[in-house]
Amino acid sequence: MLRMRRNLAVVAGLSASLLALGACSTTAEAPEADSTGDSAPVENTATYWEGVLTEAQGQTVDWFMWGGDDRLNAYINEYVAEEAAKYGVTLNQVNADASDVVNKILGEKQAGNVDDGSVDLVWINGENFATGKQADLWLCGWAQSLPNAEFVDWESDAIKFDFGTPVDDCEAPWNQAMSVITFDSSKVSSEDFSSVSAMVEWINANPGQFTYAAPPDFNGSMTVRRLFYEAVGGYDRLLGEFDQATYDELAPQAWEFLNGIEENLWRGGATYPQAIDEVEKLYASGEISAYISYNAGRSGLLVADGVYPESTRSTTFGDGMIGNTNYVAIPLNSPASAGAQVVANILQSPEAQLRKADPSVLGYYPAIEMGRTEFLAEYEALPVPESVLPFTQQKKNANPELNAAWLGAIEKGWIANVLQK
Amino acid sequence: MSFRSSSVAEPAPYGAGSAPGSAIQRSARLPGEWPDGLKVFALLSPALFLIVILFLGGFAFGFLQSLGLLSLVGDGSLSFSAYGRMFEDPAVRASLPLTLRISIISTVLSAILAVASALLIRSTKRGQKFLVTIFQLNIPIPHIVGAIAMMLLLQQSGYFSRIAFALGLVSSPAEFIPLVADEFGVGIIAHYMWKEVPFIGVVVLAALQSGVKDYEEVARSLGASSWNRFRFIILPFIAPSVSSTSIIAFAFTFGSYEIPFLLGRPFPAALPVVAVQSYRDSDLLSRPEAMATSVAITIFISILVYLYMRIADRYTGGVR
Repeated sequence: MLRMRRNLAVVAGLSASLLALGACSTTAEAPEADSTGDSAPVENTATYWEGVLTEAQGQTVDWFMWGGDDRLNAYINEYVAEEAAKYGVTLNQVNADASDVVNKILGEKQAGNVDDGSVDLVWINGENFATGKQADLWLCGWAQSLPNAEFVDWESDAIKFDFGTPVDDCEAPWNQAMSVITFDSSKVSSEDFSSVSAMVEWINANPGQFTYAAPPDFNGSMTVRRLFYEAVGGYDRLLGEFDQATYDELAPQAWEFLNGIEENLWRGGATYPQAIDEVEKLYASGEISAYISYNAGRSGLLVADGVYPESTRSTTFGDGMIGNTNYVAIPLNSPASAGAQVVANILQSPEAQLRKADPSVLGYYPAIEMGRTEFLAEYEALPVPESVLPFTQQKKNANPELNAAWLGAIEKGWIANVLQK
Repeated sequence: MSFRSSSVAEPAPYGAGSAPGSAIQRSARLPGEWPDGLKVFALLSPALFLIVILFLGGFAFGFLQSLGLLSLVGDGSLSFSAYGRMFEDPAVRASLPLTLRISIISTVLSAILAVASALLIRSTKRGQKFLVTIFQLNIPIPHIVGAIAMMLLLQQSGYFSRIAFALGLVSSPAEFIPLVADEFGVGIIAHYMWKEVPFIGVVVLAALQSGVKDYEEVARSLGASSWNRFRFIILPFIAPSVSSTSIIAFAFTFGSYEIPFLLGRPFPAALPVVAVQSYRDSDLLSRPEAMATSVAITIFISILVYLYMRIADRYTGGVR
């Protein structure tokens, strides 16, 4: 079967439709390689990969991703795209919000487009990944077969579950995000963020200096969850499947907590910013002096660019911040799924991960175990800007993300009980 | 952008800058010139094809989804429950007064200002051409660019606030009155007026070029006061342009998404913003409600378009 598909791909060479057919057979075959789990014979993976490389030749991969970070865009378009070109793959970054991309793929599916979709690769997060899974949009059975998957700790829950949704070999990790509190040390001390209650005290004593973007904004939603954990006495009861009774019992405490600090938020809590970019602008212009966001390395870049004040620092609550893993997924109807796998593999390569971790490039944290690569020493020697916390310190007491159903319930609950009240 | 088009009613009968020209043409060149109906139909068919397929097709698709059909999840049976849920949704309820307020105020004020400016510009003797150029300068500027400019000017860390702070009018920029993401929608209204005043004004100016001067001269020689000349000569002349452009402006402001998103609040938000919010809900079960909201917006705007056509018909009939 393998050889047949490969021959097919070679013969088809130039025909886009047959390439797509080849991609389909990849889907059918990959679980074989996968079913043997982590001990998959190298040979099997190697032949699988050879087939992918052959198919990928000449493909153009449209990668839909959040494009709100110029440095990340430069990394993708300059470094990753160049690496992809070495495999004959043209990488084309398309700026889009993940929920819009999922809607786009859904629309294509509704229109009966099964093999010529416009999206080949998408940077996805738990909630939208779960939406796509709900509608069976993703190509599965490839992520663990990537050659660089050996550097990924597929045993870890932080990788195996994307916001509580089992990854099931339907997406590949390429980045890790830890949330941090970014604050202006000329206006507020890190002591004020030693715990959530210390922060609440600071908020109440300094009205208007803190806010978060209204969920479902990704970062605002995370901030609400972190405060939710605090208000209900920890996240233990929120893990696992969504449970309405537990939600009904706990949620009112959280709304009381969030409404309690509301009047001392930016604009007296009368409104909230709509997205994290707006929060960042408020911070840059000095309207607020602290906020919580994923993407801990970003403040270093913004300070270097002169957007943020020099006195910007990062910190974490004593009992930890929320962390998650960023993935890329491939829609089932992608006509360039082989090329997309090549790109996913490049993203996971030790060289790419090291480069991405360099604060002068991006300062994003590796999704792979750098200890499994030959670059551990270089990685550990990377300089960390003053405004950024070393990753080990961020990771301390890391809090989990919740199942997508919990997320949805908390977001809807926040809208009804905090925003609309 | 493109994948949103089926969710939000297509509200833009005019794009940046193209409309005034065509509106002028419409009032200047009249139906009698067309040789025969078939030829017209043939010439129009590419445009009609686009309208039918893209708009009516999208609308039909959205309408079916609002009834729970064609859905990727759920039982796929026909039901009007999404419309019930829509009217019970606090986001929609709070949205209606806001959306109407924004549309009505920005349209009425724009129309008044546009007429006043057009008359003033017409009355200038020197530099009129220059004034007209200045007046219509922002018509080709995209709405998004205008909205960002509004933000830079009006927000609490914006230029106005900083100037007020520098002049000692407020003790800190944060005390400057919120004009963006404010409760009333000042920023949104300001932006729409910035765009609609020249749009209506240019069309009114064009109407004023078409021979009204002669009537005015006659009236003046018969002793009509300036108010009477305005009331009985100018107003009837410009009324068709003002009313038709106002309806276009109203329909646009009612159905536009990006401006209230950028300059407004997450709650209460303008109706199109609410529609997109539920369209983007990660739970696919809320899709029918998103479509129901879009359908409601579309129907409302369609009624306005119908009114517009009635008015246009009446006046073109009357002038002939």
